[in-house]
Amino acid sequence: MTTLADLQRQFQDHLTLGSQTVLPAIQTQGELAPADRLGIYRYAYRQRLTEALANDFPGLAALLGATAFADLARRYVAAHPSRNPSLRWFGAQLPAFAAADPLVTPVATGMARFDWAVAMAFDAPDEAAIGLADLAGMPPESAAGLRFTFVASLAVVAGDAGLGELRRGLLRGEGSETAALGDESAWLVWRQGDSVQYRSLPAAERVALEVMQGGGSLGEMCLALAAGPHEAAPAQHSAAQFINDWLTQGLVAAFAGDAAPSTQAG
Amino acid sequence: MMQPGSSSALHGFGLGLRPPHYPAIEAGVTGIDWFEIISENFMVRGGPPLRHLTRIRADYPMVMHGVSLSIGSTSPLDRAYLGSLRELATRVEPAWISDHLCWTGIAGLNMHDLLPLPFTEEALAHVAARVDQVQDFLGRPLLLENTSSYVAFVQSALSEWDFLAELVRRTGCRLLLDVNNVHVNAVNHGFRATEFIDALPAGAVWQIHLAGHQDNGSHIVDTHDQPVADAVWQLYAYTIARLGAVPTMIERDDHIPPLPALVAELDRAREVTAAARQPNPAREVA
Repeated sequence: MTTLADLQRQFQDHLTLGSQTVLPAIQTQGELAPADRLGIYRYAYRQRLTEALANDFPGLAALLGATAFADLARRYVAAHPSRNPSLRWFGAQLPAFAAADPLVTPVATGMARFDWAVAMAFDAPDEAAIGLADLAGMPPESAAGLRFTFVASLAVVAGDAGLGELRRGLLRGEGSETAALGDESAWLVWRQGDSVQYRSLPAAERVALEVMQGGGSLGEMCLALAAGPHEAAPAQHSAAQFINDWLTQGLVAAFAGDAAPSTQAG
Repeated sequence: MMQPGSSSALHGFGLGLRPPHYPAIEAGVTGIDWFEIISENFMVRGGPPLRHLTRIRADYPMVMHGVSLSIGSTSPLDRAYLGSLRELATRVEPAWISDHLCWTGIAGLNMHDLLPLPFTEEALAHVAARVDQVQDFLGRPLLLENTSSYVAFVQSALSEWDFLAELVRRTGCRLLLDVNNVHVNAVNHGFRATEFIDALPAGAVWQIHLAGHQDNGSHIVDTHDQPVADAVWQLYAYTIARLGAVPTMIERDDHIPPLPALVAELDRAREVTAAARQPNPAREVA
């Protein structure tokens, strides 16, 4: 007698591997053959996972087209069967999988990273952002010790300079030829309220952000900017602009200062 | 075994809460008494899903309906999942929590489908033990839904309805009766739908699902992508005539129409319930 555990292993092997060992356990009923009855489950398994990926990677799906996206999804489903109770996380490895797949172009890989960052930002933890006014009481002499905690939804995505415009066009139903891609660049993705935002991230700002995301101070950020070839403008000027942009765009959740150790969260 | 909770925690006619309807619901809508949420869709860290949930919960009773409990799996219960379920229940304060009589994967994998169980004594004992564990963990009765299926197993020795009735008897769990699934299985496996309904322990059915399906001639697929079929409405009338009024909802997961179309289906459920409870009850359905 086949145990329940054996039966479930055989059934799951049919779904994931196409194994037919479960077939003798299926009753013959009516007009539909046991193999065809099993086939309903196997088709539904792949279809459901493909739809979940299409939902979380709309830019990639539009870029590749239905056939190529379904083919990528089929390879991904085989390589990375779901291990989470929620389909929400099924696509987590798709960007890395695409990057390692020689059939996937660098633009498509960048789009996969971009799509996943948008999906992650969408339901990231809720945090109120602080603004410029929250720094008003900070003594000027302690500015060099200023440190930020960024909102949890913030992500930096590597990708071509035209990726954002390409994605916007694709999601509007326009063809992929409508946007010319540029040099290798980076993008910022984050959520403001209920809306996921993104914008390009210039090289100097990326350096500055990495310093402060790593726990560095404003002073350390200025040193990093001054040491780099990124800007013609003085480091202090760039740093002030970055701070202004981050605070006005809702990227910062809290600050702390060496001379003013109290941390303020919005 | 859990002591029975209260079936009176919810009344009337509800809908499955779906994102396309958030604006209309939050703007104010009539004709919906309560909502059922898919639990897993709100096991997230933040963002719009939880904000909408909070807003709508403030105005409507809710029940939680899961798809990943995998009560029939031979792999251990997922304690992390159960923890997330209990945490969500603390936020939502649902009238009750339901999932499906099925398994969704073994060996750490999730097939994201409601896979069929053989109706054997081995499976019954296995599921009953796990229902006891889940009810103890959640501190409340669990509702289990009968699923649609496309295969039956050679080794099944019990009918689906006898399996369900015995599970209720052994564990004190309650039933979420999906009338569409009864019809789907009756066609796919060749039994009389009314025999299924007649065998149910009446007081154990706390909620009813109605949904649409796709008839492929040789078999029916439970698709939830179209209006409730006439045969299912007839079986629903038969069910209410036997069980009395039971909180009932429409499940729609694909080709989701504007809210008024679903409210119209709910109104039909109201009419069927009112008519079925008139003195001339049991009506024959195929």
